[in-house]
Amino acid sequence: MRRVALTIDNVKYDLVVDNRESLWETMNFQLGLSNSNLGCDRAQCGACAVLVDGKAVNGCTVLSARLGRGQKIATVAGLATGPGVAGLHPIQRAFWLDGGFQCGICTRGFIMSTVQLLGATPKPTTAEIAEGLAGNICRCGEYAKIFTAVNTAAAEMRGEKVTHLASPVVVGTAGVTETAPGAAGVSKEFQFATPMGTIEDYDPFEQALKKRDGILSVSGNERSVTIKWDPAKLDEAKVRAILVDLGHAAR
Amino acid sequence: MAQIEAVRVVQDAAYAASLSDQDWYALAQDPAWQEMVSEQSEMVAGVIAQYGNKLPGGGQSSAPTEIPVFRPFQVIGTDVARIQGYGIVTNTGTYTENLRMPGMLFMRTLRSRYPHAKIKSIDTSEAEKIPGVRKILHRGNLPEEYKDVFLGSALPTRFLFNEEVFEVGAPIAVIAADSEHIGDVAMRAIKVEYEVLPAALDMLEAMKSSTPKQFTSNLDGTTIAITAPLVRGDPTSAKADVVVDNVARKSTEQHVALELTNSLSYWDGDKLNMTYTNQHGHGTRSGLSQALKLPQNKVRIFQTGYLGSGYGYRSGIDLSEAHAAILSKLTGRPIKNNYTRYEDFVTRTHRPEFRNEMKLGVNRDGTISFGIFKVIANVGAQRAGAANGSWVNMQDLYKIPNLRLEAVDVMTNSYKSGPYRCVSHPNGTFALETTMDKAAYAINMDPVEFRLKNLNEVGNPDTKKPFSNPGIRDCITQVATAINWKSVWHAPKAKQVRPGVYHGIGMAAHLCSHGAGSNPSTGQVIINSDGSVQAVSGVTDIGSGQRTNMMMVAAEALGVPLNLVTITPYVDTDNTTDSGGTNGSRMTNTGGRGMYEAGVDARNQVLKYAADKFNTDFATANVATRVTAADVDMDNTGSVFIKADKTKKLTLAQVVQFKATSIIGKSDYLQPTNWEQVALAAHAAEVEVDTVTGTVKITRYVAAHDVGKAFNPFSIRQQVEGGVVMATGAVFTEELLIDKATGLPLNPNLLDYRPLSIKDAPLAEVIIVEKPKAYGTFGGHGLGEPPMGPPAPTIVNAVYNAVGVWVTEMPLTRDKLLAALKASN
Repeated sequence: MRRVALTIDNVKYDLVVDNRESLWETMNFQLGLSNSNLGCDRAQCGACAVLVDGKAVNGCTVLSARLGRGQKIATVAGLATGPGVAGLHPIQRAFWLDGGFQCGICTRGFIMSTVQLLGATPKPTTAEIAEGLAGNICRCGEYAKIFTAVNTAAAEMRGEKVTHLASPVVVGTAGVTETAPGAAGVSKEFQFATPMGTIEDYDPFEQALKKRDGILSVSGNERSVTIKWDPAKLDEAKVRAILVDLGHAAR
Repeated sequence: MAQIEAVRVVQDAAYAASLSDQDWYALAQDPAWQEMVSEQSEMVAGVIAQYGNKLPGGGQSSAPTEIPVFRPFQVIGTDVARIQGYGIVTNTGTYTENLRMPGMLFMRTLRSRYPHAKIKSIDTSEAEKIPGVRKILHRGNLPEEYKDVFLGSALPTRFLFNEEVFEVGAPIAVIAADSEHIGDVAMRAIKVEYEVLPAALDMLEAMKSSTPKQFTSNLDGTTIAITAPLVRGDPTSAKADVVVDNVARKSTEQHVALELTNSLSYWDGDKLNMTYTNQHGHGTRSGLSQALKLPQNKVRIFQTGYLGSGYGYRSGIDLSEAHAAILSKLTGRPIKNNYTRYEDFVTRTHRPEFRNEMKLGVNRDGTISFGIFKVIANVGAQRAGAANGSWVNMQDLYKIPNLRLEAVDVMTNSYKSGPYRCVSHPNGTFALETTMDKAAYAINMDPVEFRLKNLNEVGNPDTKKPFSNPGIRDCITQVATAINWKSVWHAPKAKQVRPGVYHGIGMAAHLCSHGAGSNPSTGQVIINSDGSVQAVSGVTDIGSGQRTNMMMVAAEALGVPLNLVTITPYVDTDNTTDSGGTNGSRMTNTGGRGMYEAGVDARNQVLKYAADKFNTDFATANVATRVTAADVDMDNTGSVFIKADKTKKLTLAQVVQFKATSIIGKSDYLQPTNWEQVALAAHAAEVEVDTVTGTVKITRYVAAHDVGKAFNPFSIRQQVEGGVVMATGAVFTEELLIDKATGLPLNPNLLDYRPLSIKDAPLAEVIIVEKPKAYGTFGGHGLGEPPMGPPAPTIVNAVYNAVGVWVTEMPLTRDKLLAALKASN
């Protein structure tokens, strides 16, 4: 048994560990942090990847007794900067909403490997992404969307605007339809050719517009409306045709 | 009541005939039977045809039989991310492996190192002295009540601790200790005396009558089962212009679910509580209830809702789960059992090794005259069936007027077979589709045209059950169009793209029996007094998003936006009803039907109570108008209105408050059995084959699947993308080996049995074909498993097109390809 102090996501823990105890065992069983998953227990799959001083390591094979010299251990638990979907780190949000996982057991490890990759290479090529993530196995085989997620996250981290492939379900107030943040789509503001008579005329129009297939979100007033639509189902011409159909053509 | 042996019912006609009505009801409760119905429907088809009226439902169903027409979909068909997503990408989601409890002890299992042996003695005295060792359990000190407990079908009987063991990894003793490290040390301190017995380690050797028998079977030797051949027409006399022979072989594969099998058990008085990595909560409950001789309501199974998948190998329990429960009872402490990767690889189940002997007679005009197909499967150290699960595409996919199908399941002292994503169908597709290409090339016909010419689009020719709106032609033609087949396809070895490197293109079609329903199909939809909605379902999510889909179905059926509905990620058998196991690609359809029926039930109540409320308000206002439920509608915003006057509307909250108690929609649905429910698909790929190094690079991959109706296209694309990667692993790198001298597993680890990494993975383009079915939910047909079928023959066929050699032995390693190239020169 050995006494050791571990700094995990900026929190210092004073612990007594078995000499044979891995970092994963300490974090999972002694501390109950649920911040890392085990896949093979022998450094062959990368599911347990966490960062130690910025470098991705297999937590199942790093011995806790060997740490304790102030190394900074970073896991997924330390990435979010605020609550909810909006507070997630771009990498977390992208893996979720771009479908970078199915069962998710490998995801905590992939996220930390991606943190390391994008920290070193903010605009990686496909080959660089593959090399950077070659030590993480996804048995569900979701590599296609892992590429998507990493690219989207990298773009957002470089300050670009991004959209995601799917929406999360955001539980709303009863009776209110909302579109969740991050839904993929194309947005445009339209000016009505003829403004509506009153703002009260706008509400039923908005309700009817939202029910059309492919329309993702609607907001506006009696003079203009901003519409977001699914580019797989509609284009601008079709949206304009819908507006004509509803009696409020756009300019 | 004696335990009914599920596999024996299927393989032993006399045993099946001897069952009483009580026995049939007991069998229907057996999770092993339920899993066979879901995953291996071909195995049980004969029994159900003969004895179906003795099973619950008696072959009847609650279903209408026309293809459902629904209101324009509002929720179904949208791209929705996983409800568990936030928990997965942060530390707030807990997988079973993340769980711990105060006072928890860790379990370790000492296992046999011999494939066939008698345990003469066990001495645990030294191990028990090790500090931190709390209890050691073995055959000698197993409580009396558990000594006759066995799992699965008898022969070789798998008691909790066998005196005679039939596989490497059979449990001999289990240890409860303060840590896994102490348990490991204790394991090594236990002394076991073995009498080593001869083992059958080779599938073909084991079929011989000279191989020493380990138990009685229906053939001399160790073969455990020969399925009665299926014969159609007159295959032995049928004539054909060209006869093509093909021997196709597949190696043993394993699921390699990344969350190692693990469980956490504790007792609450006389009630067992277990959180366990499983694909069927109520099935696990049944299994433990049988093993521990407890009534089902004294067993509680919990699923956290976060599961590192399963791919078919954890629908039920194995011996370790019973051991853990008993250890917990004896020590009075929670027991955590984490399998090592070695244990998970070796002691759980596998897709077996197969050998297929195929003979196809074709005419020069492209018509198929006859097929004689024999499938041999190595089911390992157990009584099981796997071979005839490869038959269904051979029966159903093409018009083959004269057909003979044979199936032999061989027992060896080796890896036990069990369902692994698509079960035996990848083998059936591999065997048939490589044979089809061989035949096409033999008569100089385009492989796509050859298939289209012979497609069967009617139904099962032998049982006469019809397909419902089959989309196989669409799958093949759309994939061919997407990959530019007509302009890209060329003669074999005709296109060298770089010195020694040749381009090839190949395709394969797929049909399997997965994706539609079995029973039960239940659920509840609850509308609370504030109008918020709860979907309650016992459906297990194994990572494909089943619970997200359940929520979508409930919302659509009720007629409200998705964000008014919640569903828990977790499942607790104490407060959900059974919808069967998440296996057989059935769950979105079957559990979904439970949600659908419950949602419709709730909706009907909403309309009725809304009408009552409108009428009450009219009466109060002295208005003469009266409405019935038929005059009222819901518009997917949570509003309920009178169709003739939409200004008269109520919120869901108002309706529920008028009723004064929650609205509860319920379902208990039985699936129809009158359809031939098949999943259909076609894949195509372009490859570059390097004749110097023997490597194959996939340069393009396209996959089309008929899903009936796409509930969540986002998840559907994932299933196909992921399945192609998973199946391609078995094409190039994956095979589980044993040392033929000792029977020891050679490569049960992730370096020597290598799933594909991001560097190797083909990236499939996915085409979703929607041909709504008359069964299931919203016309849908599931597809978790079907993507596993086509990759092997697609790639093998493309390699042939590239370099003119057939390598029909999986995996297609470099040395095999180079040897085949050398032999052809």
